[in-house]
Amino acid sequence: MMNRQAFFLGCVIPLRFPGIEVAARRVFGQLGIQCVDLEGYTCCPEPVVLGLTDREMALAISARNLALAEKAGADLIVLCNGCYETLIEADDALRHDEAMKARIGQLLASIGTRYDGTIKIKHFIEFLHEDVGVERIAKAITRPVEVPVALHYGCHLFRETQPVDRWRKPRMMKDLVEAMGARCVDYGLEELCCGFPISQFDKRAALEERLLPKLRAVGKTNAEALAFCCPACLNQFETGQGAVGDLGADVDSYPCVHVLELLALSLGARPAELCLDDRSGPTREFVECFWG
Amino acid sequence: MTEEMIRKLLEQRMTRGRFACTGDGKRRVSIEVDAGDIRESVLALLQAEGRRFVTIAAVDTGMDIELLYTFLVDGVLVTIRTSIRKEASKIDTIAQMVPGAEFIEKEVSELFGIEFVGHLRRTNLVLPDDWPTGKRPMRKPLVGDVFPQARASVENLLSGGASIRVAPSSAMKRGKAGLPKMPPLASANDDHMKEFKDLVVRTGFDRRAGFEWGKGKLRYK
Repeated sequence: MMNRQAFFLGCVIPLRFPGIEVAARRVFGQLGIQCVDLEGYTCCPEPVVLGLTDREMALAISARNLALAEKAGADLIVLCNGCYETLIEADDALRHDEAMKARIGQLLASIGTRYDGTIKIKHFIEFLHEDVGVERIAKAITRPVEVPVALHYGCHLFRETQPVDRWRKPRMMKDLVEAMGARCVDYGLEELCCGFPISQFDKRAALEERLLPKLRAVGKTNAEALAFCCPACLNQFETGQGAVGDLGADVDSYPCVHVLELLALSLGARPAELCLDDRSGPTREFVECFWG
Repeated sequence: MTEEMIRKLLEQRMTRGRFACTGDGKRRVSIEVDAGDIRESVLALLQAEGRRFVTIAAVDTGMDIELLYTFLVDGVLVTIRTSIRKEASKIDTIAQMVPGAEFIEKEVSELFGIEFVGHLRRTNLVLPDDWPTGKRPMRKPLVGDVFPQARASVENLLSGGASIRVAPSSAMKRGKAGLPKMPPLASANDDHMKEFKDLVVRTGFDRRAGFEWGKGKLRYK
């Protein structure tokens, strides 16, 4: 029997960018996909800092999250890049590392639960592309994007547990954004990190060695906005653009929009419904101009 | 004197405290006790024939100071191990029972900043008389395994189940977006949060990290 779908919201989206959660619920609802909430979930845990702190603790927490979905009979649709990486890697470890599987199994049993690995875990990009389909999405668009957009995929979108084409999901993201009517422009530094992980250790290096080169590269194209599928990357760009200006760099500031926000707008949502009126100046102006 | 004999001696003499006794089967025995039971455990060991005090060693483990009281009992090295939290840094003296421990306790006190409660000597033994009170040459800062950049995230995760703080501003933003004020995180439900906490406790991470559940904080900044 086919499982239901449950959103894995993560921490950053529901607590910092609730508008993206609204967009996700709206988009999936309009596309006729029923998603239940994963009641009682916790941080995935976050892969950059917490995941490195203690592997057993991190895997146990991931396994509990996966067990919640399995108990609810739901496959997971993950809205955040970092959560996606954590959960697929935990699932992979629990399938292939027998010693760890036994240890984590014991820990789960001690709180009265278990994880048998029967669920599917998909990034929302993957789900929209594979399970809904680009053509169906393109047909549903009522207010297309119709501007040149530069895509920042985010490092975790390139993660695969099997040795397959690591551009598989980034290409899916590009297909989806183009299905909304946008023209995706290449800028050559798509694979460069946004700098968010480094910013935990060295904020200046994160800006000068990651964000700034990307903004300069985008500045050489005719892109009018940047699109993201990772809330941490979006935050790094949106807040970092002002900060690189403070460092004396002469670069343009771009509207920064999440793919789910872009899709919700293209399907008819108003910017205020998605709390986009709370965002940075360029983002506010951009969405008001096209969808206000 | 065998490990079994030492264990029986402690069982007979220690009326309050609990202890764990392990040995290598030859000439070493290790006894773990709570810091509050140090006097009783030492007193029990002093009942053994052919025993003599060897030394007290202190080990700074970052968050705690481990103290190892070593005795020689009929050719067997017996070490009573205990640990005290740096925040307290206090333990009862054994100097009245074991006179030879008097100067070693004083040395540990000066070098590691441990107060041996009931110790009578006030003047410095190994440090100069004008040595600053707060400066302890062998004492490391109170710090645990969690690296500085992860500390806030660890506190947020363990106290609220999310890597970022569930702040009132988040609830306001969610309310404005027409969403329930709390997402379906574990922290929205006591049973889920208890289950999460139980899991973390089972991994031992909270202990290794030095997380205090009551305060929702690590023991160090």
